[in-house]
Amino acid sequence: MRITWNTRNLFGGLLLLLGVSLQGQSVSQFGTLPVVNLNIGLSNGWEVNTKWETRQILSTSVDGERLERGFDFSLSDHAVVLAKKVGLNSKVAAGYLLRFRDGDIINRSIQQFSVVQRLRNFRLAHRLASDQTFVQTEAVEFRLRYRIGTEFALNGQSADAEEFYLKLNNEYLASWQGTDFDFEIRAVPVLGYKFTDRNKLELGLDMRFDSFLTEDLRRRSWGIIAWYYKV
Amino acid sequence: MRIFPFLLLAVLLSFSNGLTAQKKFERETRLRENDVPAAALSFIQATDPQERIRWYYEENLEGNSVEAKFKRESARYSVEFDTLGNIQDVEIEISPDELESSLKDEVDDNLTEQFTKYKWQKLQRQYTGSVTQLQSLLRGEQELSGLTIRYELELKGTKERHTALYEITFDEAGLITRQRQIIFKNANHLEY
Repeated sequence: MRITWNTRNLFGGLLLLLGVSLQGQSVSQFGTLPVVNLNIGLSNGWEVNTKWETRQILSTSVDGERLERGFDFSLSDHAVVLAKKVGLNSKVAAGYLLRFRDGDIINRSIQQFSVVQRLRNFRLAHRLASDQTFVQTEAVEFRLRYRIGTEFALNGQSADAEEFYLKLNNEYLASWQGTDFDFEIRAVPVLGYKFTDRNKLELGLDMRFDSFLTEDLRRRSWGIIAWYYKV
Repeated sequence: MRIFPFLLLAVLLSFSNGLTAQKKFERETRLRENDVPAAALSFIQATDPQERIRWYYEENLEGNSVEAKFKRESARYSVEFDTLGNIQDVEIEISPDELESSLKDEVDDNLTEQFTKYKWQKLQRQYTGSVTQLQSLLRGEQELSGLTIRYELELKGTKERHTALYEITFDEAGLITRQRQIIFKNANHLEY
């Protein structure tokens, strides 16, 4: 597989982004986030999407001072979403997620609307979502989310089978829980490889910044490995 | 409780559709100039291009081809060759407003028969002819006599409450000669 000049530059850019993101400030965590996403097409524009995701924390720092280092299993998420194509490029979906963390089971309901635009040399995706998280001992957490994502082919005008692509996601989340409000920003650059149109693997970084409105800014970075498969 | 998602998955898999064939399949790969057939390079060089040319190798169900793409005076050009470098056609993207109104009306009448609702999205004028005729066209010498002109339209259309994107080819009389549904590449990694 020949790597072109453009691919080398993008690798370099991704490494630079990694370097900048790891500068510590307030609370910082770094870990891994493997994901398996399975999509099953049904008839008449319906489909089911299932996702399994786990997180492992490798290090935690406060104000640049490392407190913990090692391999700490944080949580696992299991989500099922039922989606319907409602336009040429758009879908609505609703589903449920179960989160297993520290022996607790957390329930979350999910709703989303997505649009994927086919532009000349890239695809642009918009996702508007809301979710409600239910924990027995806490007030319900309501979140509203907007994500914009782009997919650039690294060879040709669109990413075909046996080709690499670059995906950049940027998401904004607003959260209300009781009288508390928080805001989170996520930036996710990944390098993907399309084995076939239905089978993709992605490697990248999921960078999350929250607690802006308090003095305890939290930065979390997850090394992502994600497998997408469509049946 | 952790088994539930797997059980649900097993049930849902049993209801899943089988694979459906793509109606329009296209795969394109960027080509370095060194890999472009000599005849295709010579053809383009003879038109004295001032623009940057991007070369692509395109594979589809009807055969493979080599394409030169460039932008000139805000218009997008695509020059198609077979894999040996023999010229096939020249396509220039135009606005639907550039069509003669009588031709557009004829096409609209034909589209109305097939679609309950539709919208013109992208239009290309396609020229076929001899090497000298097409080179003359690309040099801007406007020698259109002897050239065969067809149009390739990308259309968002609704049939029987199902909306899809179609590629429609029609001739200078407005007669539709080919219609293919464009199948989008899978986007679950962008949607979820």
